[in-house]
Amino acid sequence: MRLEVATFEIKDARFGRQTSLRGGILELDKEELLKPVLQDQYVAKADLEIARPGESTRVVEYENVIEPKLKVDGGGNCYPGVCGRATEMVGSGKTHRLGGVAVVECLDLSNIAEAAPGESRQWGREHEEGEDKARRAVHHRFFDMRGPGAVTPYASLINICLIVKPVDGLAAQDQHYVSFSNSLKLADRLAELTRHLKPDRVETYDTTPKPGLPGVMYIPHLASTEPVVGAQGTYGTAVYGQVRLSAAWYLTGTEMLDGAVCGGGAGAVSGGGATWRMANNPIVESLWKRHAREANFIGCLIQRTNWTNQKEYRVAADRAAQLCLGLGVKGVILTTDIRGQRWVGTMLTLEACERAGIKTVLVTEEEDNEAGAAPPLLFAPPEFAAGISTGTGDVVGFEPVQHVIGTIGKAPEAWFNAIPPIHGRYGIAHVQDYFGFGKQSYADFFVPPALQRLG
Amino acid sequence: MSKELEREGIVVAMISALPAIPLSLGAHRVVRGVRVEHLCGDPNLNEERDRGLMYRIVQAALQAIQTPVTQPTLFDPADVSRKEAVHAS
Repeated sequence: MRLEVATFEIKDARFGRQTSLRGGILELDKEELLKPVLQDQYVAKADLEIARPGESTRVVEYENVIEPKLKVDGGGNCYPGVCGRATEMVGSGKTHRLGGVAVVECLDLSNIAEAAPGESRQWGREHEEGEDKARRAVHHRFFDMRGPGAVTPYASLINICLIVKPVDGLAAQDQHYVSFSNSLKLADRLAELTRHLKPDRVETYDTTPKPGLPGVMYIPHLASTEPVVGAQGTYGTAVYGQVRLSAAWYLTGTEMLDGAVCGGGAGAVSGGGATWRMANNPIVESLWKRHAREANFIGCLIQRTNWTNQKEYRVAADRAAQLCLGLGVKGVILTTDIRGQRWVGTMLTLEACERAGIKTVLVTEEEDNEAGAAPPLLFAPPEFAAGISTGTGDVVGFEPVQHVIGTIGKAPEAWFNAIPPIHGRYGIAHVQDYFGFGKQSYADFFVPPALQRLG
Repeated sequence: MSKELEREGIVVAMISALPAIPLSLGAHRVVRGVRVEHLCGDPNLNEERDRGLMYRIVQAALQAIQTPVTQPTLFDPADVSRKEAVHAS
């Protein structure tokens, strides 16, 4: 499969009289862009705001981050299958992408009546409201645009935040559908501006392997939300719109670039949103750089987790290893998602690959070592031979901010305050770095007090 | 928890749907449970069979407590019930 990706670098985004893209400046007509959102019968209120890198801004209550992409040749649409979009195969032809900019999906659920909250149980959604919720802010999804807490890759993007407050009486999955579908439409609208423009650069990705080189597969373990919300296509990490707990699915590296794996909500890549992170995955990118030079990038095996039972994890692990063997894979890179039982699934895949004679490398964060009382990994079989640490998820702290984006009207006061440091990663889902984005490593960002004392 | 209790001299059998974790963390006696959501039973079974399953798991746990071990050991309720069947005949 062959895919051309044309990048249009965005230097700035600002509100103006006409929605347009000229010389890398994205001008946004707020009224025009909000009009279709407000016409959605399930939207009570909506707003549009921009967060730029370096600004004293905190984006809160975000569900997902979407890179605007446009399929200009080769069939299908980017981010296929979710929110009723076509499921036609992507990954060939030509795709336009807006670089350095993202549409952020913010869902304001303050003082809202949810339908049957007990039936729509979701991970990561607490019951506090207003100030209480903000006080426990560190456990909720937010990202800072500057300061020592600006650790997620989203801090380096120009974020066009679509804040949606849904109408009362929707179930949680439907609330998410409302914000996700409208954010995708906004992203499509912005990407459409590039259709007849000349890109800043074009890269070509060709899956053809070079004979004689070893084949490498990337196996991201991605939690399925099916055990919690059922087989919904809009909540959690989806593969062509499917969030189901299925056996491993094989995707080419080009399909990944077209957003075949995407989704938002608390269940998607630990609640930080799968869409941007899977379409800009550093492991996929570096495998492409080495493709047909040092090794052949065979593709990605999307291994779902949340089987909730070790025997089923074992079956899924063995199937993935056999699929790799059948495809002539010699080496595998693995990543995990959320940890806990998902970690067991990841390690069992690693074990099965090694037992099948395939070399493995695991890229992961370490556990909080609880001052030396706990092991760095929850469980590691003897076959685990090579790993790359992306840190422990510690963050030195979050400065007070002048602006908070993510709510209709002014956010609760507590969101503007400093937020204490995060020590270790347990429960702090939104800053986790599974893929090695490189901004959250232990060494780079945080020296624990014990080591500071040692000088 | 299991290790702290054992430090106080109380023998522990830990029932887990993912035995790999307690075994690797050094729990001495681990019993295989059903699932994370329903560890000691299965809502897909009828009441009688569900009760039987629950009974077998608890029995395996009781047997584990009475079994001397020298390292982290997995007790599978399926094995225990097979042995039971042999005794019965």
